Amino acid sequence: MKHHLTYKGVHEDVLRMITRTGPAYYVVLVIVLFCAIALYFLPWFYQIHTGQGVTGLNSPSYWGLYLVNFIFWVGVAHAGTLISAMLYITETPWRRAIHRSAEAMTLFALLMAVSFILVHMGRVWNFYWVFPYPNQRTLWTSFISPLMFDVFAINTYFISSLIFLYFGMIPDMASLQHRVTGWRKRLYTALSLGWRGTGREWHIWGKAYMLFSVLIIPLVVSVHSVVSWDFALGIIPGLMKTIFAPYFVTGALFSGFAGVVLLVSLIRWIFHTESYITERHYDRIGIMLLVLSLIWSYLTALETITGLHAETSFEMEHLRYKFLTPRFSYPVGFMIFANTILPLALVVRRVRSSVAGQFIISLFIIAGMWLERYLIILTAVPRKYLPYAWHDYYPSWVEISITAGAFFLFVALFMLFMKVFPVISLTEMKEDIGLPTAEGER
Amino acid sequence: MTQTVIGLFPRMDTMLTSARRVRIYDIEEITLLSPVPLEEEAEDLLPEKKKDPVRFYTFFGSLTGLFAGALFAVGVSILYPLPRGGRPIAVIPPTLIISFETLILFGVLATFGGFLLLSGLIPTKKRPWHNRIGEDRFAVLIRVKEEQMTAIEEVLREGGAEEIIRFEDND
Amino acid sequence: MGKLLERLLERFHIYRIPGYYGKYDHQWTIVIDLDQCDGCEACVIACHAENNLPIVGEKECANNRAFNWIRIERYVEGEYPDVRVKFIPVLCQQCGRARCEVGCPTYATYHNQDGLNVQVYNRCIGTFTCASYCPYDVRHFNWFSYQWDTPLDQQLNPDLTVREKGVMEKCTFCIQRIRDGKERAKDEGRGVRDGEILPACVQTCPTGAMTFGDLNDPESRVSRLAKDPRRYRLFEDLNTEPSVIYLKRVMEGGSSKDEAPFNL
Repeated sequence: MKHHLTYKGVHEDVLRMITRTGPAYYVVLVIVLFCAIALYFLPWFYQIHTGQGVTGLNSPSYWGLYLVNFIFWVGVAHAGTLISAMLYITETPWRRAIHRSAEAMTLFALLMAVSFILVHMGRVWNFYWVFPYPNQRTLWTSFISPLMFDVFAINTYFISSLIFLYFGMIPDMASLQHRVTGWRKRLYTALSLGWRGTGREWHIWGKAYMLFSVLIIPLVVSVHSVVSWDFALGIIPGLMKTIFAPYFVTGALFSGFAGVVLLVSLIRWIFHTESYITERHYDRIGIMLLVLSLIWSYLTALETITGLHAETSFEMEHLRYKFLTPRFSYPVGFMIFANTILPLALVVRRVRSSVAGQFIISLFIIAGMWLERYLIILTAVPRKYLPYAWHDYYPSWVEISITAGAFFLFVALFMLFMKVFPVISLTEMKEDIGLPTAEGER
Repeated sequence: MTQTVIGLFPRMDTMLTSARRVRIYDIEEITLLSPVPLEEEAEDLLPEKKKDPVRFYTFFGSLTGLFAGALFAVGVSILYPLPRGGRPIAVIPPTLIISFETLILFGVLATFGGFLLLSGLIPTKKRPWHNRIGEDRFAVLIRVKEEQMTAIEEVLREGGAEEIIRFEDND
Repeated sequence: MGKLLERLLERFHIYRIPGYYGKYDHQWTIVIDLDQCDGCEACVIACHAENNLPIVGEKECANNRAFNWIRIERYVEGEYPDVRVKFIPVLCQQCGRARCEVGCPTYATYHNQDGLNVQVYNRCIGTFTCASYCPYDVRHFNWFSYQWDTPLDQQLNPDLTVREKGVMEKCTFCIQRIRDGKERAKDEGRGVRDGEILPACVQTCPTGAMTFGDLNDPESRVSRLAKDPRRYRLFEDLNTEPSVIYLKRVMEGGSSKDEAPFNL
């Protein structure tokens, strides 16, 4: 990809992004943090103090908005790894400008997902009982439970993402350490581990990068499959389906990519990085979104049609509840519009290359994918087997507030990240620019 | 008495030509420093390019993870046999899933550990470097006996070095 | 070397038996005759009294959080004036292949040697997986730490704990009574007699619709009732192997053939 940028220019830009913070940034950060604390932590503490009864959960509907959010955030986390690892192996050039922010999105989305696991637990203060370690309770955890698969999968994914993100940042921090001052200088000097850029270091770095990518890709597929099996391994009629693992993984990649578009567009707007994230990037990302939208639509249709064909009475009740009750049929319509019909506009090149167009489409996709998780869980769990026990579920203010607060918390964490670490990968941008030779840029 | 000299070059090809020319002298160590990886261009100067030692760390780490996970899942269930769900105590599908996750986890940790060990990071003493290498300068680092120093510096300056810095070896 | 491997495999074979126990000490079963159940809900009240169940209040009941370990399900069939009401007492079926036990990550619910699906309150961290996996919806959650106003707190059963918020619970076949009966029998050096141990619901039922006993004992009443041609179990197709056997109603004409249990 041709640039008019130079190595020095890239440095200056990234330094400017990290160190020059205007008052508007601080104001927005404080507001977002305040909203996060007020909407997320305070209702959560109230819930811990009073009990799970403050939610709208009830007898057959034991899983509600919290699990919806959990799946949503784990799904959003997948795109970062897709961009970093999968597109690295396929040697896609346009991943270079966006993969650092995508990886950071993965990390913070995973944090939100883990927090939702904690929020939905009845006795949170005992959460560490799910970790298998020698203890004086002389009991271990039951590995047959799908939640234990979850514990291992999400922890592995979190640790791997953290290591991958840090590992990718080592050369960048080494480059920047002499241009920053104060606490950032101490942080970068400590974290860059004395990186000098010798041939040996780069060689090993490159080899390890490829190996990380190769390891993390099957992990990504397995994590969301495991999350989907929390539901698919039970006997709840709308959820007991074998299509769940590929369905959830595709949905995760789809929603995550839309999340990346939103984040990258915001970074571009705030920091004026138009020369790094160009229209060509949006063009390519648009194609990925379109492909994922088509796959997702196919799998959704598959899930519904096979359920309809089975014609068991409980599956038919689940489908009736989902498609014929006004409470859920309108969200189904919106979801199909946002996830299937609207992304078809990305076929048109002009829509693909326009930042505003993609931003709007991605907003709809994120909303549509959140609704997809909402519909999957909330139309299945209240309608289990015995008809006497059926009961609808309406979320309470605590759940809605925590849902909203999670978005604020995520944005706050990301805003803090942008000021501490370089959100555009210096090394990769320089590789993109090419090597300076006597004949000019190559 | 060995000394270290670093020559900073603004262009990569001039740096490589000078590095190749310097090699005819009797030097102890020559290292290329750059802000980006230089795999294809500097093949002759990087003898270790053909080797890939990190993958052994990954392989053995993953293998350990696989067996550790399987042993863990089956062994722990046998230690505390509590029947649940009408299933046997040692169940196969959860063992497969758990050992897959530990395979990836140990593989990632082993790769990271291998990277730290093999690349020679985490310095114990201060090593010669220059700020602008991280930014946009390519450099050749040469450790050579003091007598040859002026000749080496001449070669570098001819090649187009912008700046030449000497370091004392504090062995 | 080969013999060592053989011995290890032989030892390991134990851990591959489904359900682990070759034979249970007892196989506690309840047989409920739906023809005799008139929906009086005396069993519900007895369960409340015996097991320290809280009264959650009208607002919580409206949100289906009523704390009935055993509930009488009412299904109305037909149009007026040919209305028939069917009462089914649903309690924890103590499934042999329980779905809930599969879901719990902390072994808070597992199968004991009496063939009962026990719930360990201390171990529960409240992940709701067991309740979501249960096809009969018999599990109840302590949404709050419920209080008993005086003088109701003096009515609490000292043989049982009072559960705090965040813990899942369900019918235990009055395991405190089972344990008491077994210990008394052991003290007297005999086996447990049929009809000696009665859970609260079985003891209270005025029509005698419920019978409790040991299916391992071929002489017990439940063993004889279990051979009744009217027998069925709820959702047998789900392969949960419940320990509660229902006897179909005898409809007009004297036959139970058309009295359909739920079909999947």
